[in-house]
Amino acid sequence: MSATVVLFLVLYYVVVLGIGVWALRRGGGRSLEDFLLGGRRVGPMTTALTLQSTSMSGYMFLGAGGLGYTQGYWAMWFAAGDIGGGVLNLSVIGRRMRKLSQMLGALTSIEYLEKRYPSPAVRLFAGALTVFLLGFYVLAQFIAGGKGMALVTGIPYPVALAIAVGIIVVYTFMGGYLAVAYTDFFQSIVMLVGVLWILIAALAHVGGYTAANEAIGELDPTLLSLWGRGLGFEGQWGVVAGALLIFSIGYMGWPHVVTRHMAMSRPATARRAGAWATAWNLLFVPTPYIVGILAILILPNLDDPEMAIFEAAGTLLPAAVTGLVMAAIMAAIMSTADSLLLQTGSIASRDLYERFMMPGASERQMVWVSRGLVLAIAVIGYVVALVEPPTVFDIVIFATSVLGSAFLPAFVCAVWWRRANTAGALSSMIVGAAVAFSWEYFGLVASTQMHPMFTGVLCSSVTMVIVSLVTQKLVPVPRDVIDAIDECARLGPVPADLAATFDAAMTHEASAIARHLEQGNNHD
Amino acid sequence: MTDRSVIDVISATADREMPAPDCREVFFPYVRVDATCRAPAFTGTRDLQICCLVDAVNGLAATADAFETEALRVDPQSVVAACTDIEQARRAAQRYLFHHLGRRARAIRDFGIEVTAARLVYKRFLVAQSNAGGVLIDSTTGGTYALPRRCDQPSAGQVSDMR
Repeated sequence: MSATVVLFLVLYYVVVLGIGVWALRRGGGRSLEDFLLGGRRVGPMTTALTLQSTSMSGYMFLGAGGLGYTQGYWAMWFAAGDIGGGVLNLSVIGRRMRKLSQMLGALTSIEYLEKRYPSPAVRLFAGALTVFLLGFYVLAQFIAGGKGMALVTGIPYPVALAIAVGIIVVYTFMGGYLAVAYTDFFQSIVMLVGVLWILIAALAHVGGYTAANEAIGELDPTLLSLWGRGLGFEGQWGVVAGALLIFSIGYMGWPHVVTRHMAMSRPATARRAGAWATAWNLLFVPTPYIVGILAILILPNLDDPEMAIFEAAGTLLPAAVTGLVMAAIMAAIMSTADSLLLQTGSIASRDLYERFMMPGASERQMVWVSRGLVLAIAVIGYVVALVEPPTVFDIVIFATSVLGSAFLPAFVCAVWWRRANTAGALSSMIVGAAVAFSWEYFGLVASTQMHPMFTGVLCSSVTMVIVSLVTQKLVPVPRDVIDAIDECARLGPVPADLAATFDAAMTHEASAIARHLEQGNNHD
Repeated sequence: MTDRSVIDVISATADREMPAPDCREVFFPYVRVDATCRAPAFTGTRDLQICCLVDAVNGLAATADAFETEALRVDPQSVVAACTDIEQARRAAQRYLFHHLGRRARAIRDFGIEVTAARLVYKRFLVAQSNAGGVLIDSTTGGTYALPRRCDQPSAGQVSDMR
């Protein structure tokens, strides 16, 4: 990469930092307080684009492009599921989970599971599994960051990886200005424009979409099919179902994603954010896969298919634009890694250490537990990424399959099925995780023609239903939990004229006041 | 009473001095926890004052804007009983603030949260009830919430009490 690329990369970070400073200062001295203490209102568009930009990074820029490059249009099954994943997640559990978590007084998604399915075993298993799998997910971001930095700066991969991991860890420990929502918003716009720019440049380079498909067809017609290179997945509907499900319903089983429902300011914001997220997804999600497919023609002899998008950008775009786009991509990867590490540290310190080892642990102790875990993940991740780096695609698919299989029925039934009980949830999590893990570990996809996500979700869902029904009398759902679920299901009556002032944050006061009034009635 | 009438009742309570005939006041308990913390700033850290309200019935905490209080003499039956003691509330506030600040600042760091004061306060809510349903109104924000069904149908005694 040229010095111009590096210059514009640095320039990008200066601009992003400037936006962060401006955003916090524009409201006067109280902006930092407002931001940190929750007084600030971020609109639906900013909310949506911030969420999308921080949740799609390493995989989209390396895994998705690599899949398109190696398997052609088969990759579009993953894109199809992903486009609707965000809005499906918000629609199915978004509003109800927000309300139920508030009523149960849960701060983290794992704590929420324990309060919905009362048992320390639920929290212990869910917490340990999540920490383990999010560690893998962070590894994918480390590898993506290291590869990207090596390409941009030209320094050797081991050094670039060390720098990327170091920056991510320091960024996570320090936080602050770069975490401002408007910075993420700016990044999401640059990411979108950048990826679309690469697509347009790629299309121009290959002579248009039709010409590209004709050329790919001449190289290998099977790449144009939806069954993969050499029709390797032909008729394997179990694998197709998994590819569709993994990023559509899969989101509903990710503790680090569903935790965002608990932080939504208002249900109305969530609805409009869902619309914006879908619009952004329609433009953004298919693009890296298509660029990967076009890269078959542009860069036919790539050693590492996962570098298809980075290499295509370097080949097709002007140096200045490459610098800006690469910087946005790197920033998004860092942002995702930072979010994942925060989640992992929070679950380890709060859901495991404070809950089971040191009840009443001080703030300082919790910080050191979180930081210790982050450092351990960084060291292990660095060694793995250096010695035997798996592909970003493989890591993300593995972690996503196991997380989705383990937690999807538990999170969905938590708000939709009153009879889902602790025994059902715990056994569903264990069975889902074990099946998906075994499927991946023993390589059962080829022999069974079933995707681990598909079999995992199927087994965990059936387990949830059967065990909950069988143990209904033995392990009943507590009355207060049933009341809370009923309250979450209740949409009204909210007169249309009151909708504008309807405040979902009053849920728990309303329940307590209703009980107070009911007791008053009984005394009368 | 129609939905329109419920709106009228709510409108009539706008001055908050004289509840409308079909409204009743309810005073809900919170523990107000004042704290200080060190927040990350562009250069170094900055000391912040934080006000946190802990719901004294459910023990749930949330940050709040600073506010003033006044002493009122009220009907004891309109006061919801507090179930959380001050010490529990302090711990809940500290735990919540640590989590909240970490999430907002996206940082794993010690925010040095120190509680400087904690005391029980009450907030006035208005309950407008009718055959059409019950509506809870936050007297501070004007926010509304449809009450759970179990108290939607006021008993005869309750109606006479309110009048």
